[in-house]
Amino acid sequence: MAKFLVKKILAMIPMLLAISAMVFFALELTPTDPINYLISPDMASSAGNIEALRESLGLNDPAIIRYFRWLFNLIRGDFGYSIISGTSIREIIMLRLPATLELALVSLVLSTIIGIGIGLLSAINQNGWIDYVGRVMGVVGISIPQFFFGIVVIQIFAIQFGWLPFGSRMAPGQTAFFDRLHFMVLPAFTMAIAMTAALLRYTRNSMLDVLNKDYIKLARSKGIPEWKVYLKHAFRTALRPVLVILIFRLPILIGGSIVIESVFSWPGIGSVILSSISAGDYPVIMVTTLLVAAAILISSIFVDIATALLDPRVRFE
Amino acid sequence: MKKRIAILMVLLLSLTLAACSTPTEPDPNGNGDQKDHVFYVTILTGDTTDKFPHLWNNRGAIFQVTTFRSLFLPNAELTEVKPDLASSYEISEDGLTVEVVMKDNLKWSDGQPLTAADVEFSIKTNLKAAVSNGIYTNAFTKIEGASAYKEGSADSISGLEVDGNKVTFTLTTPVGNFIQVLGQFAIYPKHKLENADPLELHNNDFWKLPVSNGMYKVTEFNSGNYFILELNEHYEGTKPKIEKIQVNFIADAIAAAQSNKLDFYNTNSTDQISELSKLSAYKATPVDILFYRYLIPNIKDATGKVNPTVNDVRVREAIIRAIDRKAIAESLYPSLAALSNAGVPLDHSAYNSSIDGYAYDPVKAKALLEEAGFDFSKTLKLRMYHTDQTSIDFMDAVAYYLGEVGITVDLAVFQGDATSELFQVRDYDFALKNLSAFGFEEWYGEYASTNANFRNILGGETAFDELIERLNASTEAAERAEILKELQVLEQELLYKLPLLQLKNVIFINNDRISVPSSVKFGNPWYNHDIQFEAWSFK
Repeated sequence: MAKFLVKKILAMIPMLLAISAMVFFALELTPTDPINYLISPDMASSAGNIEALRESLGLNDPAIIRYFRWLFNLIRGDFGYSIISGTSIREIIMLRLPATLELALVSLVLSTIIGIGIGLLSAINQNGWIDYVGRVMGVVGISIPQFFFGIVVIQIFAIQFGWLPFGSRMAPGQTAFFDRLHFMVLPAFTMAIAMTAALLRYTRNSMLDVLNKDYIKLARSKGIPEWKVYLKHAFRTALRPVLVILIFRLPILIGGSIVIESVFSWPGIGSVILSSISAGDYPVIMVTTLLVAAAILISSIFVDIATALLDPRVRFE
Repeated sequence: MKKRIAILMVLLLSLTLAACSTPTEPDPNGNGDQKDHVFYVTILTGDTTDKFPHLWNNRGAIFQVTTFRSLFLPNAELTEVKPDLASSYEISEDGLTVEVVMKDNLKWSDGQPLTAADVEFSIKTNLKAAVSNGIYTNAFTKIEGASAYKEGSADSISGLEVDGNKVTFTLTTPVGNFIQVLGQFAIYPKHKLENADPLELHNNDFWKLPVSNGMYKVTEFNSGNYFILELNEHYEGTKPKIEKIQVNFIADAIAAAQSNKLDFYNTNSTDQISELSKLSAYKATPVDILFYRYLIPNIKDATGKVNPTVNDVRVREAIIRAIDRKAIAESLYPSLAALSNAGVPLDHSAYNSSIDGYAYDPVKAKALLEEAGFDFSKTLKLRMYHTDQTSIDFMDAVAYYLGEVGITVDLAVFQGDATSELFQVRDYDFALKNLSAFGFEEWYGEYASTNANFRNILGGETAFDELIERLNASTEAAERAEILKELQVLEQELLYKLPLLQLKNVIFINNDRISVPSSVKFGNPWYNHDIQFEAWSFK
């Protein structure tokens, strides 16, 4: 397994390099200039010193030089600075990543528990009322866009009833985690709905598939208690495809959800990615996309490991 | 089973209906947020959310005018000023010397003295700053020795002298609005910023918790969430009645208003105006400002390379005559828009009534196009950088009217940032542009051959230069009016910009919570002016 891991991690390096080069040169093709972005054309601007700023930031250098300069600095551990805000990217990540992590983690846990739980019960009670509820939840959760759900829950719970805040992550005097939990309810719930729906449907279908297998019939014929058949024999096998979905959601922990963060004014990495792309703030875009790419690649390694652990036929090769 | 499903469906339907119904109005009995004595303001996310917004670019946000002051405080029209950090000023007869006397015993919010040295430092730094409104550069480069200082060939500005609490400006040429510009220019603390790189001053860490000189100071900055303003104990003026302002970084101002977490907001977005007008708590005050909405033609670049599609002035005239601007204004901007035929509004005393009103005349438009030999088989590239629905509807309407005279239009939103697309990439025939101007100098300044942006689409034409210079130097109202009338004639003759509409801005105040004295007159919300905030109070 150690050899497998080392091999996979080493394979990540050229992939990340290729991704960084692709992102950088793709950005070069877009007609967005971060310095021009600083000044709205709706206001008269002082154009003279803008060029000096561009020069001082090295933005007039050829793209290839800028790319390798950025890469060299990254290898040295220097993430650079945002062109738009001047804040160090390390600081941006330190400020925004916890917000993204806490929201994504809560949504992930919520959706995993509810999705797998209801999916399991739906399969066990196929065509029962819980199955109907689960199926409705599955269809509703998948077919309604997250932003629409977000707007609806804001309208109901924040504006109509005034029970919960309409957005943001904290308020003055409510900065400690438990004091600001109520800020997380609506975004976490909204984010969890779509995640739950997909998981629920996969769990249900996978369980139903497994429950029809011969070895389950054999287990039942041996007189093994029904709960043991479901949880020990069926669920373990049914879990494999579900686990793949679950692990591939891990990058959300790093990248956040642009839609959710935008609707709920949640100050996470997702909103940073969105605003930096609009502004052409390439140092921020490069580091954040690289982080997300690394998270995806690591998730893919986790999937391989989990598959091998759950299926004895699969080996670490 | 069916019963359970029915119950579930009813529950879902009820919640959906609840979401679609009119929001709860703020409690008239003064419960909940009604008694929350914090004045709520918003900054829309998407802007920088980890620093207090630098003031040399945008100046007029309510949290900016209450934290930072200038030497003078302009009136709502931005034409007259009263003392603020300065106690008095004097302009020599030839307009070349301006003496400003500072008030005594001024202090920054950290207790450090605020002196004329801060004024000198701010002006010198501004000359080298990258992010700064053009009105400052235009005025300050007229100070004797400023250009040499800006270019780095001098260490000081010979025309900027400080003697005790007196600052003397010696100008190379009179600047008609010099005092008004000083009324906008926020003074920064030398003791905090003297080692900062002027080019990146807008991004300096100072802005994470700036030292201020206004009635409020920043006491807490929570990146991405909010910042708090509280009374500045070193402010020498009248103590405001509102003791705390909370500025929230949020995505949706309407949701904030519906949640009663918004006390002041300004917009010219018809969608937002419509939604906020539905809330009885909010009082709307439309404000006449110099906000232009116009089409710019991509005529020729700085090297003289011409775009034949729009080079003929008859084509440009045809375009403006083909658009029923009145119908668009009435349908998209009811009571918010006025027709614009030049840089001077129709109701302004300096408006030249002899100029063309560009009445909607598709027949004449078509005739002009034919006369100019316009190639109707060619697609006209119409572009915009605005993404709000009203602007999209606006341009859809423009495209429709152009289609009516036989022009095939390709309408799209720019992919990149506006400045790059408009003045560097320049892959368009006409583009929609807005300008929120401090004065007429800015509208006409776009025609100047030296304008770094417009010379890329107007080829650096010099036809306007002399009149613009005269306008910039003129201080007499009658003389300015005459120059403006001449400029209007010239701009119609050349039609380098196609004026469409001028838009008002609407100020919304939470009338259930906030009491604003009736004497308060609102002006352009992008610029500093006296809103008597010290007299505002909670109800």
